[in-house]
Amino acid sequence: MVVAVDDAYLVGAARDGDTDAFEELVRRHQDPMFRFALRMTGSRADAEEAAQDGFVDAWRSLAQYRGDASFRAWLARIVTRRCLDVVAARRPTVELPPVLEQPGGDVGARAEERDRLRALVEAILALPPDARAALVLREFQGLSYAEVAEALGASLPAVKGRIHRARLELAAMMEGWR
Amino acid sequence: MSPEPTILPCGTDPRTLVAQVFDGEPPDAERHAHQASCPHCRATLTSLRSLEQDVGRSAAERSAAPADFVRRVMARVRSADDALEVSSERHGATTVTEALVTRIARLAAMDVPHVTFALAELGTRGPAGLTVSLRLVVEYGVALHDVAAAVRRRVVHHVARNAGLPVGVIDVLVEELSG
Repeated sequence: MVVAVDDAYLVGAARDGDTDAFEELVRRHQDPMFRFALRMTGSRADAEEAAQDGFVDAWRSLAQYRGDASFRAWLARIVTRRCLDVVAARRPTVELPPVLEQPGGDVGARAEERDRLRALVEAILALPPDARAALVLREFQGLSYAEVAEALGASLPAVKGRIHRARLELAAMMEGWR
Repeated sequence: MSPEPTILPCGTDPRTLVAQVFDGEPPDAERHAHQASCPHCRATLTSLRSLEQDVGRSAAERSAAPADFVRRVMARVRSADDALEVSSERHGATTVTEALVTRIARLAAMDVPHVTFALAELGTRGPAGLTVSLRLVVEYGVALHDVAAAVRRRVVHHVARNAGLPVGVIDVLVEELSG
């Protein structure tokens, strides 16, 4: 089903119980939410569980969505909560997301870049969960600082400070790769 | 929580450099001149710029959700955990989802003259039947209690007839008037 309507319309219909409308919302947002959960948890199985639980939570709490944040930011807030639960419930593991596949280029340089980017993924997973959530929402989900603050239920200055500190920590962790 | 970042030996708060690289906040003339000659600022800027590029490259990765992701989510959404049993007999049980009942109630309310918009929500299922809460937008100038009474009659009738479920309580909230 491809619908040329915006999220707000689908949310309205879904709130009235239209599961087809919600299905379209899941289809639209599944990839970014899965990617977000993957960067948060570092494991495909955990990411799938957290993202799925997040969508089901979203369905159940649609009545509380007032449309003042974008649907994506609202959804990100719910999925974040699930990811933080998953992360808190287990000891850190070292299962890594799949290696990035990018076409072309010199093989040696590609391999070096691939290793460096993998190290970056690991470094992000080594950040404290709160800082990781803020950083990943901003850098990889493209949320504005205000939307990140909304998603994490924190103030704008607090979120900005957290993200800036996380970037400095990452830069320090990546120092050996330059 | 991450530790407070260390102030650089030259006295610069490294967070201003982060904002400069990641948010494009340009340094003022004084800081600009300082950075041109300060090894600490320059080293930090170099390492932040390199991080910013790597973050950009990493963000280009587009892993997709597993192929059956939508199906799995929707199976749970449509699953029986919000199902209402209509009848149970020897040849099997009949159930309808809460979502469906909500929809019937809403559409029934919307069919009542002078109701311009309606939202329905289900509450608990008591001994007398379901509790339905309705929020209405009603035309300005009509008697609200008459409209509410008509809405109650119609919703009870339709939920009973279409979904086969008795309705015990209907709370009506007229939330807004339309012109």
